[in-house]
Amino acid sequence: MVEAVGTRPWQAVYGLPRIVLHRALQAVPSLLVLSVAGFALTSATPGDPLTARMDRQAVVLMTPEQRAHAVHLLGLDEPLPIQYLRWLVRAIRGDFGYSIQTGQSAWKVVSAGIEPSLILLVGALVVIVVIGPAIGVIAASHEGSAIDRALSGAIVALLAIPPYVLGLVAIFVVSVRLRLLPPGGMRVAGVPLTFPVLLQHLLLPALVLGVANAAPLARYTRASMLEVLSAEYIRTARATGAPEKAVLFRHAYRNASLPIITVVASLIPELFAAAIVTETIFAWPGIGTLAVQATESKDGPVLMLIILIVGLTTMSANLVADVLYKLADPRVVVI
Amino acid sequence: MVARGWQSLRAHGSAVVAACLFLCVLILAACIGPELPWLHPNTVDVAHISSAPGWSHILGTDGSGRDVLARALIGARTSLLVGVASASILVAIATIVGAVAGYFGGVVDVVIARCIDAMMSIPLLLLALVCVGVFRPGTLTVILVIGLLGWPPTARVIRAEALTLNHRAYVTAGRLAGMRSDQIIRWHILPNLVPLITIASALQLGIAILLESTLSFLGLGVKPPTASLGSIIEFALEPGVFDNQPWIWLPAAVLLVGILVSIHLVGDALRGVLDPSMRRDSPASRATKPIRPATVSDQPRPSSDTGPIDGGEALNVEGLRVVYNGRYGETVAVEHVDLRLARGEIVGLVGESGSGKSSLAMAIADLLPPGPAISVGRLDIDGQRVALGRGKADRRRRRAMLGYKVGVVFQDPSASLDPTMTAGRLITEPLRVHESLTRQALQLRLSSLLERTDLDSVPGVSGRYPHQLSGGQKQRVGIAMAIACSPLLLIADEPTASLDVTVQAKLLELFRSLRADLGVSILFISHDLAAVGQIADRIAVMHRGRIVEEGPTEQVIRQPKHPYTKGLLASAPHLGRGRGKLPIVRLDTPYAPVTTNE
Repeated sequence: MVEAVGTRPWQAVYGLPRIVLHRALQAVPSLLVLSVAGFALTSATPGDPLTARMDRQAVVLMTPEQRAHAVHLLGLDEPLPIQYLRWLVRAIRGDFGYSIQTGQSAWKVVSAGIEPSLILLVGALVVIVVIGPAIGVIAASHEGSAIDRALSGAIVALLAIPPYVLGLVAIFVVSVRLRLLPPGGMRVAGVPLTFPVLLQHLLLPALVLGVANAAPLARYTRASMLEVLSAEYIRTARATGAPEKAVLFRHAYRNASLPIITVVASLIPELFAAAIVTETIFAWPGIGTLAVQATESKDGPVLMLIILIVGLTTMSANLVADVLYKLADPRVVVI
Repeated sequence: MVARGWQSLRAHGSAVVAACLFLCVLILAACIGPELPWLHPNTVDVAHISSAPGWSHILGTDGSGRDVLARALIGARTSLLVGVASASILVAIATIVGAVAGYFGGVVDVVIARCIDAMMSIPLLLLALVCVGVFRPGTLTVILVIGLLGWPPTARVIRAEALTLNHRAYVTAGRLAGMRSDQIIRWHILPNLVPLITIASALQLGIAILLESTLSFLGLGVKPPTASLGSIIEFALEPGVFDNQPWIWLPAAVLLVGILVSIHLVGDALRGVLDPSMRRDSPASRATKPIRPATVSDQPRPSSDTGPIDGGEALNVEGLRVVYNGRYGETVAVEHVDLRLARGEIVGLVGESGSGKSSLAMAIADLLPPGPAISVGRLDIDGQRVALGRGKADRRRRRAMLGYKVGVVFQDPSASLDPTMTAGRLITEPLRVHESLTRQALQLRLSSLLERTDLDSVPGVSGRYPHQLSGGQKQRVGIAMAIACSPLLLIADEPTASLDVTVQAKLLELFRSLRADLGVSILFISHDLAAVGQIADRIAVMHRGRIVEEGPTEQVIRQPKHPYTKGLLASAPHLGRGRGKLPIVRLDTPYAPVTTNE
């Protein structure tokens, strides 16, 4: 079937590419809104507008004529909408301006934090995906019992406790009192960064970040399992004579876990927020620490770039989740 | 109204009551405490700098010699005030935006939805950081930032609700009566949003307090001399304080966690009270009542003997009783029923909805959901007594009989097949559970089962998912599952009720051939006397949980003895005749089974 059904060009595309295309096109307006907000922010940042766009050393050495020329060249004397378009073109080409704090290009400053942040986020996601569903399944399969009440209580507590309080208490207990793990940082100065060293430093922040954010998933899994467990096909599964454990995992969890992918994706913005404080208290050299430093030094271009990266990551995560969900559920037909 | 609300809150358990009390005491303490002369938060005690908890200062003093308890109380006051102020702004904006988007729809809605999407893709904390970076940090900045940036999630929820309200009849009526948009929004939409807004306010209050404390903790929120819980916890980051003087930051942390957990609990309880879609029976009211020990029925009465049947019994139930314990007291679904099935016999169990047929069948298979109390005098399957204990071992033994000795076919094939498994996988499930077969043997059994149930004519059937099959095909899959291990007894619970007449006829044919070829006994449950008449050797009529008449099919249909059976037969629809009415059978009608055979 190659013929186009609809009138719009992407409707001639079928299968997964169509879903991806459709969702990507939907994200474009959101990204534009984001970029307008980001631009407004960069312009509103107090300080010399030139230093946010050029190498600082060059600005300091400029004569007034050169300065006026640079302002004209950069279009800073033009109306704001034109400035925005120029900024957009530069941003698409990968030029995000210069950090006010260090004078380096904003991309250089921010990209240094991407890898550590990714390591921490992946670590936390592993923790979330392991303990969230586990708590949910155990609570649901013991509905109404003491185990269920204890776990549900823990879920409420984890939903309410601020991640940084959890982090402080964890450092206090694990690192200060028990001296089991290093209290912060990503490496030991002067020692090459090997995997065991990394893991040793990663364990506590990833656990804190993961545990603090597993509660929504646990709560969701519990509710979803309870719903599935009362479905008629679970009775059919029991009628095959399968032991209760097999019913729980082979039939109930398989069905209850379908939307979990979407839930995990929806957790990502919150995860970033929690990562900002977690990185700060664990002195983890990631984007979150950078964001706090940039805020303190009013570094507009760096903040702007961080916002764009986080926004883009969130939207891509949602897109990936949508695609995975459609692949996992046989009832969703991919046309 | 308030009293009723309190009642419902209390119903959510002691934790919610404790949370309410904690919040009340804390608000009082935060209001009064710092005003007391001996608890002034800014008084410096030079004699006690960073002193541990003791008699002069219950919780100790901080690095400037200020009382930790007084600081924590003033911090709680700031946190609560900032939280309430910013949550109010946030909810107000969210309500207006959500109501407008939901009411007007169209382009307005799309534009607002895109803006909400964009804002929600950035964590609120990061947005707040950026704005604090641009403006001057301080209490007012924090309130405005949270209030002006935090509304999108709430607006999204309110928009969805407004969208459904918009299609209600009274809104349409208002529009037809010539009301202006703002009047409809103010009089019809907003009042109906109140429960949702109340729930959102509680949740957002918690989020606002959390965000303020996080910003202050990062040094980007309230500035000295103002103190909030977050800025007190920030002392933990000072060298030496964190590990050596934990009393300086721990009380504020404990207080903050207490506030957040309490608000969360109250918010959840409010949701339970106000949100009708969240209402469900609390687990306590559905708890399983202890099962009475298996004893022979309390009221021994002559068993409904149908005479000796050659080849032994497939099923023998004596004194089965199922009682549901609901909100309105006990409901007896099955009252001391005795039932026997000979090998190869088809017994039809008929009765109207609610007569207890399905409860009886599911109780035999031990497939009733937890809730009802079941007691059985005696249950024999294949001439062997089944252990009826509630212990793990007995339950496991009963479960192991299912799919192996007892197959069950359910009523609604669309709901009773696992949607994530293909037909082939579903049909072989019982084989995988009970017999360890090689891949080839499994394949062989599958194809013979498909042939047996006439599914082999459907191309690629074993690779199809239930939603890709028709109703009749799905029920054939259900039957193939039930007979996969060649059981001795088949319990078919209204297997044709949800299918049309032609499909029904073919399925009845299938059941008959199963009996002929496999020698399986079938307990065929139906409210359709015509269907049962075509297939059953004997018919048992059930009414109000009791078997009121039992006998050979011919006899029950031609010469019914019990008034209820007569009524049931008379009310069966016939072409060209008007509808008869099913008579109300008085409770004092004799319910002991009327034995109709010699």
